[in-house]
Amino acid sequence: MSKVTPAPDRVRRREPAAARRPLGTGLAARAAFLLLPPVVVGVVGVLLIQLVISRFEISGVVIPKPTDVFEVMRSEIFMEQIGESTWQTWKATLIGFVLGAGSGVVLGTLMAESRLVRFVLYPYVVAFQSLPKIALAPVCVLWLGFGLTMKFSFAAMLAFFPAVIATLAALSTVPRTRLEMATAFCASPRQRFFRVSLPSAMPGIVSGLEISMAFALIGAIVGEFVAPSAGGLGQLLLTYSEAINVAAEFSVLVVLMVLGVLQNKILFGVVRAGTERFFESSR
Amino acid sequence: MTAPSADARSVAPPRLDGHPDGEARSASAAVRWGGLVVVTAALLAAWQILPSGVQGDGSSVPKLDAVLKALGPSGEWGEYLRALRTTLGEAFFGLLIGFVAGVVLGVLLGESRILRQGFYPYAVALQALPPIALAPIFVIWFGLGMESKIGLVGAATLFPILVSTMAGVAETDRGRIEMATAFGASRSQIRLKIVFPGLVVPIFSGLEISVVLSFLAAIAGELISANAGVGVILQVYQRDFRLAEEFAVLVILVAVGLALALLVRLARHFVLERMPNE
Repeated sequence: MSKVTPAPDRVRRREPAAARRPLGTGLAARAAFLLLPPVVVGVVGVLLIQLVISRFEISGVVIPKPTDVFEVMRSEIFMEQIGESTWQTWKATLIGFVLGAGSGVVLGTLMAESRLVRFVLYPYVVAFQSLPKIALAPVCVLWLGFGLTMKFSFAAMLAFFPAVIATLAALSTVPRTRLEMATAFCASPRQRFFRVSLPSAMPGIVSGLEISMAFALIGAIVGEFVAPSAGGLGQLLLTYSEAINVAAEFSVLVVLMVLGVLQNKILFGVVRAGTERFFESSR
Repeated sequence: MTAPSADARSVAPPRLDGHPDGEARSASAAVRWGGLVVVTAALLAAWQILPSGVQGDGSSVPKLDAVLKALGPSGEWGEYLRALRTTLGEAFFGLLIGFVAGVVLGVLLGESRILRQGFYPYAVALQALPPIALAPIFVIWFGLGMESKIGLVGAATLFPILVSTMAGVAETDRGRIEMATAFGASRSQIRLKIVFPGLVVPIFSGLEISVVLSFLAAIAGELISANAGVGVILQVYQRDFRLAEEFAVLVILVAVGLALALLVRLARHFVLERMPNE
């Protein structure tokens, strides 16, 4: 409600400022101001690395020249391999995320809504949380083999716990006053959950899901590291590592970084905006 | 929601009961402890009974008593402890590097707007890269020994500390800085008396994440390639089908993980207790 009222006011206040200077230069100036430092750092950094490596004749095994990395990334074989591997890895990440984070949100909700469930399961969640779950990778290989099943199961396991914890935390910090108001208006438990608790908890849950997704990617890659025939980016990294082709390894890392930014920042930016929009009506 | 229907009214009372303070405490405490004991007993019993039930390839899940035996005095404690010492050593030295670098870079980026604008996008991008993926490169650089894992742990723990330190610097109370300036404090005095003490809490919250990460990254690095450590014995036990020992190590890892988390909490408590009051 408070979001609706100031809107006309804000528009009125902004108008004279926009009239004073042309919109284009303002935007361009602001964009330049924001983009200039990172671009300068990037360009100077890459040039500096290139220069230092060729000046001091540092071996390509230690740090590959940026030009070598670009060359690898432009080659056709790499493009072919990387496309296939990226899809392999992301498929496992996505399936793992949906399974792990989905069941995590459900369990977190159950734990937040029922004191009994919370009390009984909390010690187990804490115990599992303090286990470095990467250590379960060998057992997962033993149980599930070397294929996609092992990868997405491992990813799901890593994605599960952040979702549980975030959902539990977000749902149990819903402002008491809002719940009391819903009760006072005779909302049914279902209404109270879907109209009050869930919209209030949504930002927290979405941040938890973002962590889950990052962990799912880690899980998929570790799965590929541990299972010697699983394919994917992890496998590609190991192959290049065995061939001591460091330039190609860096190229894979660049791709992985782009994948990480795309899924963690861009995808979740959209998801965040979407959920905010969706739940705005009920807030 | 306009008029309280009969349906809504009939549901309202139990909901009030479900409210944190609505229940009779003693009765529900008994139920909860009872539930915990029953669930735990059921899980342990299932662990003992079920693995023998699927004896077909029964080696895939060890029975509870086998795991307990592997954890008992006749277990491979020499091997466990040697591996744990290697892994914890890697985690500790890597965390030390990540911590120092993270705090220094965090303060730099937090204090200088131009540095922050220039480098922060890259920090975000690097953070999106799963640190584990760097493991093969660290092996090429530093070999199979502890050094490669220390490097990996350092790279993995750097960012949480950097980000929380930077946020701490950025969130320093402007009002206090202005007041100190008005009282003629120099820049270094402002740093020492206002900015740095305010960093303790955010640094500890970054440290809490990083300690967990350090242990995880050390083990992950060992799984990929190493000559000693927890990751190595986990893989050896798996390959030799010694699953009782494998599970025993996992149980030990839970205990160590809990102890590490507790240690950070205690350290935070200790430091905050000793800090001069504002």
